[in-house]
Amino acid sequence: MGNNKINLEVHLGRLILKNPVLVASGTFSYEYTELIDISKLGAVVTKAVTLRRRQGNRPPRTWETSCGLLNSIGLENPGVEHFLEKGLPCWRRWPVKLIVNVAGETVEEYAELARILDGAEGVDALEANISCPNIREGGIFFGVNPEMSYRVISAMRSRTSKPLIAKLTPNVTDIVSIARACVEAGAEILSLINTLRGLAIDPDTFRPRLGKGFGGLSGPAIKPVAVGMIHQVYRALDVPLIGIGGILDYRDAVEFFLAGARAVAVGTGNFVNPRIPLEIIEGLTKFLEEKGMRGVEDLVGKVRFEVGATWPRFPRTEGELTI
Amino acid sequence: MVSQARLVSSTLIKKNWMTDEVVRLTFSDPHIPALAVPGQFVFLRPSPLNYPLLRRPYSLFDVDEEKGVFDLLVKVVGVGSRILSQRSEREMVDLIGPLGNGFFLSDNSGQRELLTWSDSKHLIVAGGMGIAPMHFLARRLKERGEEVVVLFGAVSRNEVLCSSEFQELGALFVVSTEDGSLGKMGKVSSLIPEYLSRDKRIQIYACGPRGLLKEVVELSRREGLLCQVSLEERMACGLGACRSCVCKVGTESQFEYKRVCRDGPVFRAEELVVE
Repeated sequence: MGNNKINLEVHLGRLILKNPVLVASGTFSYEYTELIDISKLGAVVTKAVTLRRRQGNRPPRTWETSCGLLNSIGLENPGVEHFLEKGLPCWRRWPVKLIVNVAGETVEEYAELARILDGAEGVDALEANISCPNIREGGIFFGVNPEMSYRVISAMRSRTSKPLIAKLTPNVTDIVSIARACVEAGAEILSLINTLRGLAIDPDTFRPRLGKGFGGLSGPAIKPVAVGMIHQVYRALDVPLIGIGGILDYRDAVEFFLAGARAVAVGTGNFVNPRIPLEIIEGLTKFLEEKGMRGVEDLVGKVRFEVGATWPRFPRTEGELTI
Repeated sequence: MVSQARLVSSTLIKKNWMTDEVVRLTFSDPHIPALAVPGQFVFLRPSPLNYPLLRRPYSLFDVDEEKGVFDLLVKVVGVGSRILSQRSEREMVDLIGPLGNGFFLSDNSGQRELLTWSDSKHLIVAGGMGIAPMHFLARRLKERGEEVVVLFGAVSRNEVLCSSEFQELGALFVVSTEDGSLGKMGKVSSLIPEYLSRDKRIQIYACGPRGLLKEVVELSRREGLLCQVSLEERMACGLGACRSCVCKVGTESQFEYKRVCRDGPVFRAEELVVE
């Protein structure tokens, strides 16, 4: 059976991708072009770009946990001007969609980044990182509050006509309220989840394993949290979702599609094996073929719950989350 | 420099336990032995399963271009190294390599400064598993007819590694142990002054615990010696993307973070802030 009738193309609002497999911000860099053919990817999401250069946090910056990775890198990057001069021209050599992840310490910084990148050719979409747990100002401070999330996204929305993605943090009581605020502010796509805040301690020295103390947890350990949150948001809102969190193979990706994601991004998996995103594309094609499906759309949100399944209940969304 | 690293599956062809805790693994691979330079490393998955999750970096102990094999020294210290050490001969191991910048030797890439070779004496200073990248280096130096002295420090005699391997190369191998059970008692750094000669230009290559590296770097600065340091660091991506394995380059008050995996693992002592 040939795979000619499978079409992996996905439409995330105005952002059209040749397949639904992305690589997540902070886990992929130009160096990967030496090992895999990145033109096969649905899109590349860059490491967070900030207005000015950031040195990053003091090491150690990562600590491996059971099936997970705790990190506190601190958004080390050379700043947006450097990105436009050096980084972007490199990426543009490749026929692959590019999503630029941006982070700021203030609403104005996010807005300024949106303005600067709005004119940049070769940037296909912007992803607002309102969820980084590892910087002192900004990042997650916006993403845990619906009102602040709204302010950041609407400020960016008014400065750019490019497709706008809001990347959400799982470190909240009610993910739906944040998601709704972002959509109301003009985000056309949501990506979730960023890392879960955590702490690892050395029992011998009594000191945190990371130089900065707390960090963010990623990897397979957080996958069920991510799948659950995708489904909560999928149930509540009509907006394309990019599922992120512990995806290592196509079956993990299928879980996210069934929960309601239209695309997935591989993060920590890129460290495990740089081929994972390409293997997912191949595996997904075969899977759809075997199921007699034509595309990912046939899977989106198709999880089947038993009658009487339990649901997360929160005061603000209780009414919307009953089956 | 364009990296020549490849994603490969290499066959483990031989396991040789050097001590109770250290095993020398020999792999067969058609690419890595021909591409690698001393000081580079491979980034491998200890298990074909996803536990442990991350790859582990191991320096190339040596390569044999003709036979198409390369060797790693693995000390069992945690889950990853234990699983790796228990892999059987003929099993395939998934790895990326060769990675990183090796020792600064004269080569044709234009990236490396041509050091003055005449009248040089090469001091290799290794603490414990810091010996891992040094056999490849010592062999290359000996092949050029250079004088090589290996100063090896261990806690105790049962941790002394590879003396015959280095002697076979024609290098002088000098041991110190902290408990005095073999060689001179004390730290390996205390051996260095004896081997500094005035009539030869001294080049030092160091790898080992941070305390040792700090001493070697300070001594090199004081004495005005050429010194290169290979850093050991935990890594997540191994390629330069994640910025986990950073070290300080510059001065204590004005530094920037450089990636051990991509910008190193070998650095010049004069640029490094060793903490």
